[in-house]
Amino acid sequence: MKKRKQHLVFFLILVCIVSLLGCARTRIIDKISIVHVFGFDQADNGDLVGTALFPVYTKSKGSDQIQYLEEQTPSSVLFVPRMGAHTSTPVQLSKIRVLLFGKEYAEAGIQDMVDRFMTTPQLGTNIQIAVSTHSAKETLNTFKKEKSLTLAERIEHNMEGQSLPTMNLHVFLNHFYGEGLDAYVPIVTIDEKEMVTAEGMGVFKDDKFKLQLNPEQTALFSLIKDYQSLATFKIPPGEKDRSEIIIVKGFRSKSNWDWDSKEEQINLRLQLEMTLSQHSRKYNLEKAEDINKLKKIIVTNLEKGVSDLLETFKENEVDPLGIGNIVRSKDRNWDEESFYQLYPTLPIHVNVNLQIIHSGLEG
Amino acid sequence: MFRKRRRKPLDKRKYETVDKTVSDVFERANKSSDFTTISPFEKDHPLQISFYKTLIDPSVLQKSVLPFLKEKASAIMELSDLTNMIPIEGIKFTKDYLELEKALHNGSVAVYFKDKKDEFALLNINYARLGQRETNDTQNEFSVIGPKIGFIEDLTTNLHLIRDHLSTSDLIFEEIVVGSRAQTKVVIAYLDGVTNPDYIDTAKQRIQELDVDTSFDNTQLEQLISDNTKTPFPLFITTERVDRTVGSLLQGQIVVISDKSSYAIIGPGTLMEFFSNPEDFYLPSIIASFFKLIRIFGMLFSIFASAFYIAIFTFHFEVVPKDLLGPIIFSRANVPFPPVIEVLFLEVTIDLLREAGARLPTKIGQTLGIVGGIVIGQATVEAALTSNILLIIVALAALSSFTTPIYKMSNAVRLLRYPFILLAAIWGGLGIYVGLILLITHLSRLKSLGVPYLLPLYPYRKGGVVGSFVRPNYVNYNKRPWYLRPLSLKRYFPANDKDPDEGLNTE
Repeated sequence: MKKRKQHLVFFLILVCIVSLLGCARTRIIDKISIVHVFGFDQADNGDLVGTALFPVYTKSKGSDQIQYLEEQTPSSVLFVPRMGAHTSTPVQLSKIRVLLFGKEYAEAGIQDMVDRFMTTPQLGTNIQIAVSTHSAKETLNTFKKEKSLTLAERIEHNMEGQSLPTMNLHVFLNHFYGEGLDAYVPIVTIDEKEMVTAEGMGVFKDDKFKLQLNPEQTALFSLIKDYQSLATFKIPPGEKDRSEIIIVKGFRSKSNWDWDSKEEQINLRLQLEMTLSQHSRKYNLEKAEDINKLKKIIVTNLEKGVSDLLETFKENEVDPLGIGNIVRSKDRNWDEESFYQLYPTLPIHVNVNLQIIHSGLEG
Repeated sequence: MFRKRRRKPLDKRKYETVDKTVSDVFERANKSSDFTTISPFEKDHPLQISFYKTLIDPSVLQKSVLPFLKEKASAIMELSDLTNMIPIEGIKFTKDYLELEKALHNGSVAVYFKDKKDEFALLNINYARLGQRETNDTQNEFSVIGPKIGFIEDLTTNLHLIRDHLSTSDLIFEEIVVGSRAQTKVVIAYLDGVTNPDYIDTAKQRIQELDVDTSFDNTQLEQLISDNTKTPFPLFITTERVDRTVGSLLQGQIVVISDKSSYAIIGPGTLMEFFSNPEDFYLPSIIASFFKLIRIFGMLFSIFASAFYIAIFTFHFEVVPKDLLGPIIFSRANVPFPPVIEVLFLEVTIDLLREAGARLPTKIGQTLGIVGGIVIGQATVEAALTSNILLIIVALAALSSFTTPIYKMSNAVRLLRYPFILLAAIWGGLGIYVGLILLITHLSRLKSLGVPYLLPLYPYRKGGVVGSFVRPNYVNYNKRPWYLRPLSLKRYFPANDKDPDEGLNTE
């Protein structure tokens, strides 16, 4: 009898645990508004302006029916309830693919917004975070006119197969809060044909947008940062004569950082495997000396490009490559403040080791 | 509150009407119109014969019994004289009226002196195949290749089929009579020197201790001797295929066959065995393994598909890929019900169709396919009662539930989805998880003839897990599963060196 009572108690506890944990609101798939892109801007009076794009799938199978909502609130927490007032179904943030910051807002500092991402567990971390050169509102409006919801894809494929360095919210948060590194994001812009374009990348200093890199610099950056960057390079960059142009495409790259603590300098050794897509006819690739000549031209150009890029970072006192973090891993007495006082004058020696794996054939 | 009221044990053999004397036997038999007593001789001859004319073979009676009796009627002074006169094997003499009654019901003719009813000669001329079907193709378990012989509703034929396939003196048949009113013959078959005697003893004890009036079919008997009668899972394999039965005998399992039943039951059964099919053993092992995995996947899909549909579409829309959101939401947009009602509606419809299809005569059954498949399927979507996507999922789930070769198991799989549907509707993914835990707990507690049902997965038995998901190669797996504790382990030695370097066309 006693044993049976014990079982009954256990059973009731189990029922309670299960039923209480299950007290979740139902979110039936066709009775919710699923936000796809969320943009943030700053209004003139200091309020936040949130813009969101919802696909209206109940009216059409594709994503050509897009609902646009804009809300101005003093706090980011109020976006969802205010937006809910305009929609016929509850607003759900879980499927957000891209978070977009207007450049002005990014330059003013986004600390409070990023803190909010951390406390919103509905957001996945494998989503894109980007800064737009125009305001987020304008970009989203242009995007809505395109009648497609492929902003995330547009950024992602540029990271995988083109020159953008890989980034998502997860990595961004690590860079944003981590010591010895600064966050960087892809930049989207509206081009002359009223199209939303992924173009280059931007670097944050602490929580403020500081530096925008042009596409060439972005390609070099992804060569250093990513293991498999498929960026294409035109060498020499300023060449106008078409017969002289050399074009190489990245295939695999590996960067080794060395911290020389005695002389307080950094050696960067880049091991590159590249394919030669186009070269001048005066080089005969069957001759070893011609190949060496070609290699030398490419290496010197790349070395110069990388050094210039690092110089730009030092001038702007930003560290998206995480050099501080690299030094920290080698130096026990590393201290963030003193290192970054040293940073603008820190000598970095770049050494590129190139291997051409094949030429001509497009892979 | 939960205590069971203890009942008094029933009196032994309560349903049996007890005859006290010989005249009682005849008196009661005479009430039936098919019981015949004739005196085929001159009027004053004392000899008489009695029989149930529905049970005997009339041609034998006409050709081999009556002529000889008539010819030499006057010479009969003693009943034992009959042995020399009638050319029939199996003439018995008895004085026991119980034995007489039993023999009459088995199709014997009783010969006796009219005025001296204390000794009877019993001539067994029963017509066992009367009313039996002639074809013995398998009716429910099909295979494309391999033998297609199945059991029929006759014990001697079935025993013949087994003995014919497995002609060894190690094959033992033990007969037990079950049922106190209609005495059904039940035979336990096993391989001497292979099958563990524990299984034989357990099965024998359970069958002997049964106290029922009639056993209609082996499947009923199976439930009566089952270890757990409250579970939806079948604990013994019910099969009508001869090759499957013989295969299990060779594995060291026991087989129970009973009269008037076309199904043999195989024990001890383990869960994973229900997903293998005799055809697995006729196909190359890699192909057979693939289809076995498909069957296991089909079982899982059939249980969980509609439950996941509900859980995802009511609680966890995040897991739906972005490109799929459009088609799904668009197809569900006009459906006025929550997913659970939608799913229950379709699932019950499919089960109705299935049940109707099983009961309808074959000729009308064809129309059912059209009504079910086209009219109901198409119309419910157009009437916005269900979404297109759900229709596909439920149809696929129904389809995959039929891949389970054993009918009883496929029924259990069909039933199991309903609790999962309800759990998913209440608690979403958590509900499915809770249901899964309860299911696994239940399964791991089941036993068949005292052997754990989940063997060899739980308790884990080395070397058996691969064999429960795929059909291993004959060359590598030439032993019986040791966890079933057979008395001899090795089954065969495959031929060595089947791919010699030196051949006729060696270069």
